[in-house]
Amino acid sequence: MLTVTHSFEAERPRPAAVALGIERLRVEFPTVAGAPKVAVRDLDLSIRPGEILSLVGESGAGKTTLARSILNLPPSPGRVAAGSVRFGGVDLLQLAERELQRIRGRDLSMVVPNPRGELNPLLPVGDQIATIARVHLGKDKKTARAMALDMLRAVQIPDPERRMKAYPHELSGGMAQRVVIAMALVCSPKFIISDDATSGLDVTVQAQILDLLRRLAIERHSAMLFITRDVGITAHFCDRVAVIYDGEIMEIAPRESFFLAPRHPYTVMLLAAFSHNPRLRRGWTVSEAQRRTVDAAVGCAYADRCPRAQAVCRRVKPPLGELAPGHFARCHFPVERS
Amino acid sequence: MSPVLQVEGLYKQFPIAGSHSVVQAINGVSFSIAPGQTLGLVGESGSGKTTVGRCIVGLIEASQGGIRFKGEDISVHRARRPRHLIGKIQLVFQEPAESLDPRMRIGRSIEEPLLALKAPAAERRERVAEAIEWVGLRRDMLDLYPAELSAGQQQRVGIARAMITRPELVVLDEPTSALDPTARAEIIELLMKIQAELGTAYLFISHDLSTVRFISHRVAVMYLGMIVEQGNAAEVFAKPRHPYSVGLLSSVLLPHPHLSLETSVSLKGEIPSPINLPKGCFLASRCPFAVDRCRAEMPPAEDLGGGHLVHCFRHREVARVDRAADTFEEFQREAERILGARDGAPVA
Repeated sequence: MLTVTHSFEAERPRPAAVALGIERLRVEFPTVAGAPKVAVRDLDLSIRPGEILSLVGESGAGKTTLARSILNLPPSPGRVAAGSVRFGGVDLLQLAERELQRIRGRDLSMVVPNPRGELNPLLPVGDQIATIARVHLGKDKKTARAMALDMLRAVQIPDPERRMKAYPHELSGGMAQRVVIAMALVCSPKFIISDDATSGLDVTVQAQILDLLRRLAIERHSAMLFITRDVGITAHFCDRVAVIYDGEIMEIAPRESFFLAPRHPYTVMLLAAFSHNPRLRRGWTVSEAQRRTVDAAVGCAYADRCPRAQAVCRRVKPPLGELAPGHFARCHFPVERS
Repeated sequence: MSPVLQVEGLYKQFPIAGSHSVVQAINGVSFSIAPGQTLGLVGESGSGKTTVGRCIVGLIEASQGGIRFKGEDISVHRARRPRHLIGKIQLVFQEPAESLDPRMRIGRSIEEPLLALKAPAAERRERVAEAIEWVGLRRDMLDLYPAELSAGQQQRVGIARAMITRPELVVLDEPTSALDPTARAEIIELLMKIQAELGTAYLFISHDLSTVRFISHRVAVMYLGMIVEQGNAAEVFAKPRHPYSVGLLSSVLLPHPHLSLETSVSLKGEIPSPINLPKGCFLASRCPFAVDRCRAEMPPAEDLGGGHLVHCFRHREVARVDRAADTFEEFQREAERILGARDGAPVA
């Protein structure tokens, strides 16, 4: 139902075949014990211009840490220990804070859940959107207001002229989320990060917002990193899917191939959990009693929960191997597909 | 078998401070739950699902209408209900972390409902041990604090606390929406296991439709404080007959790129305000099937057979355009095919 076409690809010149390239990114959190906890482990990921890449994983897998580290804003007290984030010809992690501030919100923006927490409760939402256009694009007051109004129209807020003057508390959750999306898109960023931006919404509103995000991304030729816990959305929304577990990409594949022929045991277990089939799910789950701890620095991070794990999995970290065209899985014993 | 719970013509209004108007949160809700069965109550936020649950538990009092528990009238606040009903109806909350006292060891939290029943200490200890076993937690966890548990484990504590009084009805208000997919699947399977063993009836309130489809025997769809359609879960999901149910179900996204529940029925516009409810059917302003009659009078419940009730004058027209296909079952078959691969099983 939701297919993405890239007919516009040929029409405009592309400076690079990669919209955003993450290389060997490592984010660590200090611990009392001494050795830091690795939240994102030497992660490589590149997203093509115009592409929507969905990143799925459970809480604590490092999704939000990754998203915020792209903007060089790792959640405190975490720090980026190594790696690079190439964007528009520069490494974002090497830029000075002043330069970064110019890029964030203009070329690279993020939509987060809990829209009310993002909005200033004391300012009308129209002003909040217009401010972004004034600060980042140097527009005058009148033009910025016109841009804000256009954005409210684009996100399909009914009666946008009146809503320009509305305060955040006067809006429903779905409306507030649309305003936050309007703020993220007003500068037509080349890259959008959506961190679980639709999770708090009702299904009918969620469908509208997703449709909107995708359409705006296509119209404005933006690439998107779409972070979610819900593989139901993922199956209909993106171009490629990546699964993150314990700070590592476990599987990454084109959408169809990912859902119709998943290869990594963790992916299969996740999909089974969504299929409401207890027998299948148990088949891919190791009981707590059988779990053996692994050292994720040495072996496969999933080995302790994997029904296929063997001695080698705890000793040698599997590479992210290409098993089918564009379909990669980090596993010594991936599920066979004919 | 006579129902464990009967709700008849329930209304609830909330006054708005500083004004004479009221929020009409529930507008004539009727349903019943059979012993050992699950009724799934679905609807968008603001539809009144939680308010119905709170009236049944007795945290708030309905403005009008009857609630009967095994024939006994309980349509009053819990403090005024007969003493012998203490612990018979329990509640499990949405946010496990927030519904547990952070400074109380979990063993104490689980035990607390028994204090209201004045159970002796030895019996309490025994039943805590039993409850914790039902929910699959280890005994050594009883001395932990909630913060030391994962969200899934915290919700297990919430369930143990509800189950320890051996209730006959448990109201589960979005018990899994704060959880990760694997924890959610575990909790759902656990609830079904407990129901099979103890014969507890559930009112399962959720906006997660595929979970509701899986756990419920019957399902009721709420819109603006009304149940617009109810019936056997598989039937309502496969053959929804109210335009709102059709629209709601079509927005579910199944994790399969080729299976969608898309339909030709699309609902336009905004949900009317529960302060000024329109005359006639509440959906009329958004419904592609609406005719003049829908705007003039409220459609009564019509039984399509087997207890499948729908409040719509135009349900025959809906039936004509909507395909009768159980996409959920098709999805289950696909999941079996794709995820059932067990080649090269691990060497034990």
